[in-house]
Amino acid sequence: MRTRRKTPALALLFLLAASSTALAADDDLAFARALAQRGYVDVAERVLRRSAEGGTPERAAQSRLALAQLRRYEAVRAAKANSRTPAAAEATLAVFRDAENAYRAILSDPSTAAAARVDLARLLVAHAQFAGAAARPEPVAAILDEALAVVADAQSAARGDDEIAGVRLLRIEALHAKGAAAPASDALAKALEEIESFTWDYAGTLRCAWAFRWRGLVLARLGRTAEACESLRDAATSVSERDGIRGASEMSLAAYEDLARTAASASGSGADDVRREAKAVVDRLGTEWPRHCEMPAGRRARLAAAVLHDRTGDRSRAVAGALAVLSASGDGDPEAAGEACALLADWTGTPGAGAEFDPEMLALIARTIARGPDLARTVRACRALIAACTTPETRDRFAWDAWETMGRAYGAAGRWHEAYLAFERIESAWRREPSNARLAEITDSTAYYRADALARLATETGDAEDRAAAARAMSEFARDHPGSSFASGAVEQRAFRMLAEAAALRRSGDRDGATARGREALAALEAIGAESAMYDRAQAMAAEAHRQLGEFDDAMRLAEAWLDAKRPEPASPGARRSRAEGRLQALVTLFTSKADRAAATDDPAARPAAFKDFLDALTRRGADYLAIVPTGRDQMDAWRAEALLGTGDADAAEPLVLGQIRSRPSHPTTRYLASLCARADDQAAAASADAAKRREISLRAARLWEHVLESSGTPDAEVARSAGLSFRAGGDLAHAADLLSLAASLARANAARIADPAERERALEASRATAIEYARTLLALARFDEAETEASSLLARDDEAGAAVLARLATGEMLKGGEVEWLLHRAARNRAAVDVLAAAYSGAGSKERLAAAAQSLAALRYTLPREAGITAESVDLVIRHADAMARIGVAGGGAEGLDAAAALLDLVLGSEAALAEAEKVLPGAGARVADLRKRIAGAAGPR
Amino acid sequence: MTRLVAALVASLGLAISAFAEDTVRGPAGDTIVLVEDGTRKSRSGVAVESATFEQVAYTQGGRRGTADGAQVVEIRWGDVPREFDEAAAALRAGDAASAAAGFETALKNRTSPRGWLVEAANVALGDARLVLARKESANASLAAAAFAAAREANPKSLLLDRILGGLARAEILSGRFDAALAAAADLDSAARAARRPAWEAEAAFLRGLSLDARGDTASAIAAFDDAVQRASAKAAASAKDIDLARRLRRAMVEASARKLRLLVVEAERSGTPQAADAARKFSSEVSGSWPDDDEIAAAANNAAGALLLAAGDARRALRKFQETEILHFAVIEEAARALAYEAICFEKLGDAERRAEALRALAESYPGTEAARRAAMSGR
Repeated sequence: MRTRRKTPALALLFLLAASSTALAADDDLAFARALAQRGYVDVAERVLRRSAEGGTPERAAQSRLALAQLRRYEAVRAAKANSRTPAAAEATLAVFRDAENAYRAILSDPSTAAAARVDLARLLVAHAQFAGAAARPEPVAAILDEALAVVADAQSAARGDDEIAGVRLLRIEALHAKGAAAPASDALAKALEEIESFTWDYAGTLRCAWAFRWRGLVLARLGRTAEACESLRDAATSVSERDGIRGASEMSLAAYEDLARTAASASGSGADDVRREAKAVVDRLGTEWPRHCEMPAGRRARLAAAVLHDRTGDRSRAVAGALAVLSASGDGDPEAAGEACALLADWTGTPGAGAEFDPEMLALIARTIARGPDLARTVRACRALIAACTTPETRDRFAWDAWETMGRAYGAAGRWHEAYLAFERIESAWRREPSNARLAEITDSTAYYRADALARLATETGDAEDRAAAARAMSEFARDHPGSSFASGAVEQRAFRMLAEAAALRRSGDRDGATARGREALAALEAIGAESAMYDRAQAMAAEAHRQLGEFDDAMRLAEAWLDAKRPEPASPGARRSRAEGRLQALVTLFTSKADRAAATDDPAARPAAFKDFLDALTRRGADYLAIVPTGRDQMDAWRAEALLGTGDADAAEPLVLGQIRSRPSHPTTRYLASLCARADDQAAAASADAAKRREISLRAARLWEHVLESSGTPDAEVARSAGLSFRAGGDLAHAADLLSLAASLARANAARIADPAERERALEASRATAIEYARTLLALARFDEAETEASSLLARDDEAGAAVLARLATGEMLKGGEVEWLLHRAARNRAAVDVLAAAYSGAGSKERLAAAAQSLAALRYTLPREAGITAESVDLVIRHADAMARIGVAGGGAEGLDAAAALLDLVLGSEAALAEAEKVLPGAGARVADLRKRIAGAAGPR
Repeated sequence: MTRLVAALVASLGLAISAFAEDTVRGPAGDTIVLVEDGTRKSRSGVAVESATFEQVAYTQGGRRGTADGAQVVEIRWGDVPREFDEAAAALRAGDAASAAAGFETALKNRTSPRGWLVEAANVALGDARLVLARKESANASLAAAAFAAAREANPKSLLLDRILGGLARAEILSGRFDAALAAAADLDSAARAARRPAWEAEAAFLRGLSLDARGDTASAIAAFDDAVQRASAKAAASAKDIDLARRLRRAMVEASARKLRLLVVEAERSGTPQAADAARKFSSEVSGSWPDDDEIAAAANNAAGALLLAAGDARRALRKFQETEILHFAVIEEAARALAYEAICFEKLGDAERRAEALRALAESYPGTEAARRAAMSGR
């Protein structure tokens, strides 16, 4: 399916004009239209948005429609850009969806619905076609069904012959698109039916020409190429320039183009006849539409005709046609020029084929193709040009430029060895012929690119030989091309690049490689003499090299020395720039070295002093930094926050961190600082004796943790857990439960990905601990059923027998034999989960669940370490056990429950001494026992 | 092979040779170019009556004259039909299909009663069909038929090297290796009769190609050696004749490049260090002999790459092949082979995307080459 191409301005004019009839005098709409026409789409959008939010309802509706049309224009333009990468295609699809949503939102508004429906249908069809062409997994059938539904609505609302005919043609277009997307559907048959009916209804009118074109396209899709070409011929020749019918030229020229393309792609026995007949029709294009041939639609038709000529074996005519389009396109129609060049590059790009062409024309083709992203075509075009340069004059004029273009194209694609080879070709030619003026001129830059390509290749491979070759090439460049604008600083640039490589190696985890490269960089930096314009910067970079090597004291000393040194005024603009860069580097190195050294201080007692030193440096030199980087306040605040946190002053650090969250929420440093601050808050909350203050600090910590969680690319289980626990401590239980649930599932998923069994078991244990916290939070929220489910799944995961035991236990039945063994085993091995389960049963409060609670608590008590004596846990379990039994009695279990509860209390906590001991290990135990006894007495009554 | 065809085709517009038995006198608008004592001379305003490799008979100003066939370099005919010129231009532009159609039209609508057109148009038609045969094998038989027709038109043609060379190549593409060997042997015989040293070397080269295609590697290597020896034996004596010297050098280069390729194939096949050493040694010899020759450089690069690849060093091998493909893209067969090898290297390096890219570049940039055909056949 061909793509409609119009100049953006014209398309936009059309789009916005449709919306503006009712409000021609409206200033905002007119202003927005003017802005959009000049390419300021974002500003136009702002104007329309403002207009949509205020003013009369009618004006707001028109503005919303114009906004939607603007998005449709953006979507169609993005689709035309035709980028091949999946990411670009996805981005374009997102623009389509966005535009469609904008239309859907205004469908219900009667003042704009009619226009919106037609636009939306067209947009949906374009969306489906783009998704199909880009081979993206998009629900194309559903999109086209929606398009057809919208068209049906538009059809029933349409008034007047023109509108009705337009909507019917739109329906045919949608059916054609659906047939193309789903060949097994009956959409194409329906399209033919609709076309038949249309041509019957409008027989004898020019409207049929549009239907003929669609019939041709539908028939071509059905493989009925000969009939398709007949229909396209009828459409193409139904009108000509002489008739002077407005709006028909686009259709007729598009039909010519479709005819040429359809015939060119014909196959099978009758293909030659089809092509011959089509060629006879297409050859009339120039006489039928003489002036329109120079319009964009005419150029597209002529290019399609050129392809047809090529397919019929008339390559010479094909080339002549494409060349004519290329010459006529100029700068005004880059799309046609690009397509012509692409065809010519293909036709001339096979070896030997370009020999007949004028190098000047081949150079134009190569230049045009090189502007696009197609490396293979660029290379073919450049090679055709090089092959056509058979004389020394043409070689000097075009060939070396072609080699350079090729080298740059390879470089742009990240293919550094091939880029090097292309530049090397120029360099070796210059070595053979150093007196050649053109070669001398071009190698001033290409020799640098050659060395640069090798340096990048070495960075990519990490190979010592490649590195040596790169160093050699850079030295050769500096030696052989001293007059090059790249020459001044080539050696320095190499040293700077080495340091950057060292940093890259460290980031990639290659510590040894990073250290080796860092040492080389340091040596290279120190070798840069005072005569160099980049000396100042090199000195500062040397300090930075020490920092990267972990030599913080040296780094700080050199950076301080750099900053304190008195220097004469720089002599040249280059030296001035180098000085400014050096100063900035020295400041950054000083600050980061102090921060790194403080963080690396092993002695916890000495660490705050180191951070204090960092803070002092920031106070002393911060103004210098801000003078060079006026936009660097955020960075200064980040450093200050880090230093304050290091000194333990979280209260002072927190406002700075919150400021960072507001001003640069996605910055990695912000995340780091937020987690540091959250941890400090958690510690402060734990240390606080005041419950209200504790809750307040915990909530602050929780929000910081939440930011860390949300700003991470992939959510971290440990961060989610910390956030959940902080929210729980702060009293926001619902939020805590959500986060702990997330943390538990993340932790489980992480564990499942670990291959090493021991590692995996450790990770699983951590995930179980988080799940327990989640279940405890559910208990605190009185969501006992969910807590029971969570605890049960923890106890009986992958254990069918266990699940059966828990099912019986939950119904309140008395466990027997092996079941008891199972429960005791779990109570011994996973006490926390059984404890939570017992609490959940107890909280549920039904007689059955209370019976289950009593059995679970008994198991927990039974598995207490016998030698431990009275502990907080043992006391708590006794009270809860007695409580459960008492509540069974109250819930209809009879006096036995009450008696058993009383007996248990008497047995374990009956004496004054025992009660005093219990109070000692578990504060509040005495009051809980007294309360329980009172309830037992009240329930038992006088017996 | 393509290089040879291209060179022949390039001279088509100018060097159209003649007929033997047809004695129809043409207009006095022909030009005979010949070399006497190493100097190029032209005789224009002549009407050529007959042209064989033995003798060219002509009339000039009503007087008859002859020229020694061995000295004649080319004949520029004064009555070349328009269709012929257009077809020749199409062939030079790489449009072999249009060219073939044009030459067929020229033959069908013969305007000149003279016989040279049958001979020359059939030679050119054969060349065009040979180019097309790389895409569609059925054209190979048509090419052979065209060359046979040209030979029949003038068995002692001045273009016999092109006729028999084209015939041998067409027969190789058709899989008729014995017929190809016979054509090479006929050229060898004709070379002696015509006293054309370049033809002798080319005959040996064609013999090597035929034997290689038949799978007889050892004999093919011997034939290529023979081609080099024949060419170098005559090279010293041909120093004055620049065209002949260039042609002999071309024969030596092509035979050496072919031999190197066969030695590499042997080394890959046997996997022995001796075979690899032999290939390496020969590569170094030929690179030393023709340090500036593009084809030798391409073949030597590919040989080095193939040996590295065979030794398991795909990364360094890849660099060699890239060097061939980037710097020597005009040496079509070698550049195509380099791309095919690149695909193998990428496969070994686990880069499926670049492998596919290399194969795509091979199909798009070098269609019809042996490497592209093999890659397409193996479905890579």
